[in-house]
Amino acid sequence: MKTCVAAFFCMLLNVAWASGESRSIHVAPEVDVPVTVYGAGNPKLILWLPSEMGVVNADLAVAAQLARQGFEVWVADLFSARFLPAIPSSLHAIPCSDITQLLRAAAPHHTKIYLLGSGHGAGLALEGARCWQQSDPPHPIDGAVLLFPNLYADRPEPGEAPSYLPIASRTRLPIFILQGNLSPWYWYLDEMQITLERGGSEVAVKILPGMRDRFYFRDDALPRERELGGRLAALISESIDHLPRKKRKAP
Amino acid sequence: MKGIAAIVFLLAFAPSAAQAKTLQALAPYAAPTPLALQDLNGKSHTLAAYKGKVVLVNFWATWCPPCRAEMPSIQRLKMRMAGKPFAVLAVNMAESKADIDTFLSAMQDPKLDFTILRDKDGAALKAWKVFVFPTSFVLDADGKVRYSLIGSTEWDAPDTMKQIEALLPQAR
Repeated sequence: MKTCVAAFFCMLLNVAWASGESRSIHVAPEVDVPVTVYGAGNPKLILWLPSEMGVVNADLAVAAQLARQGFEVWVADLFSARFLPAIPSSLHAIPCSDITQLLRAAAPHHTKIYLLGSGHGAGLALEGARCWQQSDPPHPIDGAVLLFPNLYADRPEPGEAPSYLPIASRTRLPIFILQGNLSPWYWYLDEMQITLERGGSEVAVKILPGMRDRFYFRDDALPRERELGGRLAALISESIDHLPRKKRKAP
Repeated sequence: MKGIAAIVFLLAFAPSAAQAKTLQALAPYAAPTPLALQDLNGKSHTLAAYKGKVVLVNFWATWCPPCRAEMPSIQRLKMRMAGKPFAVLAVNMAESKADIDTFLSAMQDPKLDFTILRDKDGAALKAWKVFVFPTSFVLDADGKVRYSLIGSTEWDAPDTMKQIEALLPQAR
């Protein structure tokens, strides 16, 4: 009987985690960020920030899986909060104070805090981390996982040297990059790593063979991409375990 | 309401597809590297050997949908330029010969017979500073880069052909 009751509650918990809990976090006058929370009550927090494509369903599915691995995941729809379309330039319209306000609401209940960003959203994650570290009083952050990050200031023109977002060389953070090798960005990873390390970040990189950017939510995903997409939560969890420096230290 | 606002914003500010597919004229500059690469049969090619010809250098990969989409139009462009000093060098990004052969076998209408070079270690991609696939460059008969294009296009479209034909030696 006890087993049945326990199983029933486990099932309820799983359903709750899979569907996520909708919250609205007030971050500025007339700005409330819709947040979907998975794994509420878990001690380690991942704040999942949108890419240039906004929050996609696959993000929510991976967040639900991360909850089962012991994380509380906040998927923050920062675009909707400010009526922004899902395009790269919208990322520049999001003040980093939105992120610090989200962390202020979430952080007191957690022992570890990580940020997750992908594509052009990687820059937003780094901006958020820096603002949080420099907030008053300074706050520690335990690292960031960046999926196929794009930290270029503008789309580089062919034949011209790219310029990186200023934040890329002003961040001091343990960073783990997951990058497929079927991407032009793959060939410039060493350059990006050097740029990040210039600011004091420690960077680890895992190459995902046979993967394209956005592999876990592409319409034209190949079977191998769908397969790895199903294991992305485990990959992110492993990346957090292998962040290059795990000191909880404010700059 | 938020959705409508987003759509209005997109319509107002997003660049149109047509804008994205126009060849971008450049201040002529010398090609950044001799582009010494081997083709699928192991034969070496250098840009110097193409002096006197207009050359389309196209960086591509079989896993890149827009790259695949524009391949037939590159072949049609090559056919329409037959007999003129024009060549295509399609630089494949570090894929195996088997992957490329499989792709070529599937492309039958039209069958692709332009030169495919293999950039096995990304050296050409880095030297030419290519950040998006496909990226293309059009070189004049003196080996100077005259146009670039990010993304795919219909290479045999009249306006594009006119731009390329204007670079042919007899047209200058």
